Amino acid sequence: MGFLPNGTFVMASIAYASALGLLSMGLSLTFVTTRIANFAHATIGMIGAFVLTLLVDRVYYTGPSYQIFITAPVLSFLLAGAFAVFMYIVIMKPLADRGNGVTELMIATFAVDIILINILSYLLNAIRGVHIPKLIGLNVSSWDARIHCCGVILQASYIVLPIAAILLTLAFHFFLTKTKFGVAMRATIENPDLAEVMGVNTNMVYTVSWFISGGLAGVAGSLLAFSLKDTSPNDSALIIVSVFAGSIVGGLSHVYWGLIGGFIVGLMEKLGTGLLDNFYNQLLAPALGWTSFSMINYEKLMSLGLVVVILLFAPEGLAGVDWGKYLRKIKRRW
Amino acid sequence: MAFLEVKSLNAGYGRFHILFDVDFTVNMGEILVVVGPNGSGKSTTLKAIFGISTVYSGQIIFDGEDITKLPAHIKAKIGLAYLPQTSNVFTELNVEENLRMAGYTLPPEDVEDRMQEVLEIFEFLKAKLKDKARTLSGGQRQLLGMAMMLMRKPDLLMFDEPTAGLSPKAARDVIDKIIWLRDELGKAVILVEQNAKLGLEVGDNALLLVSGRISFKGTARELLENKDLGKLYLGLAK
Ligand SMILES: Nc1ncnc2c1ncn2[C@@H]1O[C@H](COP(=O)(O)OP(=O)(O)OP(=O)(O)O)[C@@H](O)[C@H]1O
Ligand SMILES: [Mg+2]
Repeated sequence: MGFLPNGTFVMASIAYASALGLLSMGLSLTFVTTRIANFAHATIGMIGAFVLTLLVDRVYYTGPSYQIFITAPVLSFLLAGAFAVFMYIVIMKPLADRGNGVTELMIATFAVDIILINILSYLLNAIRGVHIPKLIGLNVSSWDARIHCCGVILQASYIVLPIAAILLTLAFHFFLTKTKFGVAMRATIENPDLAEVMGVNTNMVYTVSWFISGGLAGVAGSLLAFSLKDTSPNDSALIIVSVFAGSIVGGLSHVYWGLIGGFIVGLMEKLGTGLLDNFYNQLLAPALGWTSFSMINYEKLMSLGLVVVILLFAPEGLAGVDWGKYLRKIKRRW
Repeated sequence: MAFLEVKSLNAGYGRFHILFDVDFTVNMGEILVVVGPNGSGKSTTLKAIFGISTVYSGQIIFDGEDITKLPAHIKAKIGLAYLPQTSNVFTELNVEENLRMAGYTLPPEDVEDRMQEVLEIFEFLKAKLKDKARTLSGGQRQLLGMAMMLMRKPDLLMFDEPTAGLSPKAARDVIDKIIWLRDELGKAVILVEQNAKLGLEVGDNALLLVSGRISFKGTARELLENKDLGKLYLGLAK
């Protein structure tokens, strides 16, 4: 079984998939609350990469430290969340209040995306590094601690990302089910008018949903930056494609399914492409005498192909599939 | 001065102007019954008072205060309550969460007490606290909506066809409860009722809406005895 990928690659794929899961979950959240498809979402995540770069330069310049896995996500959550709130209150809400529809609002998020990419690029160019001369394009992976585990060497972020995704999802679930404001958020998602009638300030709910969404993106971005080779705000342009793919696979209108969709898309892109590449180049091509070619640059084909398949067979995404029916079928078979 | 005064209200949905110069008042300890054909603007009137449809002009005075421009969640806090005609419970929340939402503006320490009081009135809900509201029957949902209205002890209660879909017995219970709210607790009530006879028999004053305009205003008895209007709009043939 020589074509199976090694442990490091598997863990890197899971880490990437976890980051996508967090991003897709946040994207779905602001979609279900405010009906805004936010194309700036991945760039908001890049605020996390920006925070990480600054932390590396100012605080952790001497080398890897485990502390950075606390400080970077926490600061990124706050800063990216704050930007998302700013974006909602100053740009999106006034546009929505003036009667703009889903399409107009979506185009406005494109504009915000371009502006934010440029602001971040400008800042990374303009801010003078204290210990590191050039901040833009900095390869932060050398600040990621290495863990020797099970015969392979792993970047610590490969382990931290899935753990962070699990903890944040549990925390979010606790918030939605056990806190008064969280229940109000679920109520508002289902029926905003009725929530208002009950005394819920739905606009506050929307604002908080943007904060959480941006915050989750910031955490994902800060931790994912460890494995993006030369971090630059432009990277978000490619990531956002996968984030939307994840949300659509999940069904766009269900927060947890967004998480699952993002995770599946992430695995397909990395692990799926890797497996296919190994299978073809190491087994099939040599055996049949075909020319080998690298598929690694075609990973978006995997995720977008999955979106097409999902839209064809389950137009409402995985959330719309009647899983109970299939479970019963399987049970009957046995 | 009346407890609720609605003055030349013009309202609708965005560009769709539905209500034209609607004027009426409701006092404490009084039931105002609103009747009219389908699509005449009864529900829109209640929504406009609560501020979840668009008010173009006019004034809504509640307890001497102009509340026309207040956001709906503030109106809930100062003592207005409204049971919508449809989608009046959160189907994805369980019964207990629905009741808690209904007590959203209460101080946390009062919520438990209020919930116990309300459950004493609607006993069947006790066994269903952890069930999603979507598993309730249509009539049970209607009663849960009613229970939710009482959580906050509001001063003005607006019911939009609370007996729709209920068995005659359950409908009678709901109407009795509304009478109790008026007589025992002295609340102000606006009751939109499809069953004009039932509504007019318990109402003090009545409003007949036709095409978004008031075509009768007076006591419920007068409207009940008005043969022409009754026949034309309310199916009260006799
Ligand atoms: N959300 C909406 N957007 C646009 N128009 C609406 C909306 N809701 C209701 N209308 C229109 O407003 C008018 C009045 O509707 P309303 O619901 O107030 O009638 P109603 O008297 O309550 O009728 P019914 O007895 O059927 O409940 C109708 O013509 C309806 O088509
Ligand atoms: Mg109606």
